[in-house]
Amino acid sequence: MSEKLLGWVLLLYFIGSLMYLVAAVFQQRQLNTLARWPVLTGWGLHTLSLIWRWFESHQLSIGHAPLSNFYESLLFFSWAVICVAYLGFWRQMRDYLGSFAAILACLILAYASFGGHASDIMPLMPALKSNWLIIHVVTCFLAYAAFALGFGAALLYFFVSRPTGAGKKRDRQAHLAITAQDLDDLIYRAILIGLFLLTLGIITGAVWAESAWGRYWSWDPKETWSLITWLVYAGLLHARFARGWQGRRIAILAVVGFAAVLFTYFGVSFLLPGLHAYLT
Amino acid sequence: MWSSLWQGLTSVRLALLSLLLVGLGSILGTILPQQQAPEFYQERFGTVGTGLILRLGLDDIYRSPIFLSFIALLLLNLIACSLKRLPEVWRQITSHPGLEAYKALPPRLQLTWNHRERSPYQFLPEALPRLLGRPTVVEDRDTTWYLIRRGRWGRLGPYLIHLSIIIVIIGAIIGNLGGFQGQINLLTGEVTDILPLTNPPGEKKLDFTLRLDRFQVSFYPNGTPQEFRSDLTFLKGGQPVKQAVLRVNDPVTFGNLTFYQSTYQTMPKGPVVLEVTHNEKSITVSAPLRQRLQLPDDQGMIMVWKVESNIMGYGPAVQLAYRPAGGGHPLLFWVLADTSRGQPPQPGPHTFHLKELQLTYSSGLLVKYDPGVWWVYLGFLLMLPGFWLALFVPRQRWAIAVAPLGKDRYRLTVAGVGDRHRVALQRRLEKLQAAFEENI
Ligand code: HEM
Repeated sequence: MSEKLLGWVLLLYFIGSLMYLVAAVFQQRQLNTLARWPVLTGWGLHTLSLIWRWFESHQLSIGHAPLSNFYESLLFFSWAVICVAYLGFWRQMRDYLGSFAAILACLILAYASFGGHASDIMPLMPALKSNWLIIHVVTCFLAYAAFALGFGAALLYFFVSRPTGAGKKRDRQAHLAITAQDLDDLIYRAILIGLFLLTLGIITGAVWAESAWGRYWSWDPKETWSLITWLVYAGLLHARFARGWQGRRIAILAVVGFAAVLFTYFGVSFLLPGLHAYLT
Repeated sequence: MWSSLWQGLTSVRLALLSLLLVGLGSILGTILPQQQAPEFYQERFGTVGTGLILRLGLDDIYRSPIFLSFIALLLLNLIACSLKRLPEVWRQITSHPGLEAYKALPPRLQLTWNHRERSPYQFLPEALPRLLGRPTVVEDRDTTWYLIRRGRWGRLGPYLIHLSIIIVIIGAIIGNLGGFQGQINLLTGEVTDILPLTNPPGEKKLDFTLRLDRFQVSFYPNGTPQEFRSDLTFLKGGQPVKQAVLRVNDPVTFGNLTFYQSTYQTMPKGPVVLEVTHNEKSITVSAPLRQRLQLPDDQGMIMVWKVESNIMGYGPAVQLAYRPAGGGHPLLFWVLADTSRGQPPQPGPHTFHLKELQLTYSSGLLVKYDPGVWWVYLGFLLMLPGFWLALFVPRQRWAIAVAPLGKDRYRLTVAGVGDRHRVALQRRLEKLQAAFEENI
């Protein structure tokens, strides 16, 4: 049942993304307001389907939040992208950025549904049965979502500030209705939010590991990669705060940081062994 | 010389370098398999590579002097930067910058005030606390300045974060130097007052006795474990002083030790009784766990290697190691207790049949003393308000200058800066403008 709902969610995100794209390419500014509707409706259904899944797991009397395996984490990641996009960047969710967020959520959901991942609701092994699981996973994925938006803004930044003739560049900026300066600001804010949430995620993970395994930090690959991600973004902030880096260099670091996020999420699960391997 | 060293120690350049080094070291640690035997590295990296890896401690990188020195560098940098900047920052927060500093702020908005009933001298002290914050009023010739600082405590944020990172690292050091960790395996009913240590290696005599009263495992219908639980009693001088239930994710503390449910093992209760048939002749043997047993007439050796309470849904089973007469490799195979669905093949010439198998569990407890963990948690706790202050409290300075232009007419100039939060500044300004326009 909750899976059927997801089909609709996918479709709505896709429609929303197309509408944002049309708004951007054909400069139909009013369309941006309309494009919110399919995406937000989709997000409402998405929320409903997560709650539903939770409910279903209770009916199977193995009740746990739908955050316990790779498939469920993808569902939540997709949800988090839209959540952070609208909560954190309501004004900027238009044109290309709106389209980026919606299509990203759509792609993650499609990968969850058609990537051949086990989607059954499975019981939790004892170490995972903890309220820390919920808060740890939620904060981490909200952080990933914020970093994903920073990444999207960085890509747009490269596009906007591509070195061409000065006149053309101004044209492109006018056309995009967003300036390089705005994007720079956006990358930066997305990363602030992301870093705060990631810090929370790492802390809650550590507290949980201490109560489950007796070690708040064991240099397990997933942990280590989340630390590496944290270091990259902390480096980015210092380069900006204290050394005045802006624009292109910050955008590049935002891309590097997101690569670290992707590796933490996917690479570690598939390529490196460790405690978190049960998530695959 | 000293001053340039100090300069370097407190620089952000060094911060970036130490973040980079710790990052690269961490990456290496996840790519290069850790804590393997030397032969493992020999096979993949040859003699030269292995020599390098072992010499530099890359096979256990997170405890290697190199990696620890990167962390030391980071720690030193943080401490030095805090020592250097904190007094200055504190002074800036607690003292008021002079009027001159405000006069230099970039103007953002200028408007003419000509409201008959209400002068800006009335309006501003009333409205500003709501719009921007409580102003300090300074008269300078005919101009009246309303000076406002917002979010000044935000300045403290980065230093709180840095301090919290210092505390976390120090907590980890305290834990590593002053703490220990061990593993106890107990059968139901068993008592012990010895803690075998895994880190640092050794053994510790406890000043109490620990007894495992009961161990239970429960399974989901599909066979995956649902919960492990040990019922423990702590005794002193033979008297129980504490009883506790230990579950995964729910540690128990006694004195300064913390107990975690870490593993369990299925064990036979007493020896395993087997019926061994050879050439239509049967004998009964009792085999204790992991002890060699010679079969009669020099026909080989067996050993009970492992027992399981439920092997792949086929119920309890024993894994036997069998070494045929005349040597050769031992063969491993399972013998099921419940043969209603058949018996897996046995290498022969003997056939084995389980006559009696009583199972019990041995519970594996991880025992830890970590005097640093509260420091680590204190660091975590401090980090959160630190982040809040550093990242989400916009720091702004505003100066609103009012100068009379004529009768009931005044010029208002709004100047302001905000560090790093352009959007926040813009929003404030819009709010301010709207409020002014309503009242002009
Ligand atoms: C993610 C966590 C961190 C945040 C949000 C953060 C934030 C900041 C900020 C905002 C500043 C500028 C302070 C100012 O301009 O007054 C700063 C400076 C600095 N940070 Fe961090 N920091 C973090 C972690 C670290 C770490 C891990 C190091 C380790 C090397 C570090 C080392 C420094 C140094 C050396 C300075 C320069 C000190 C100064 O001149 O003010 N920071 N940090």
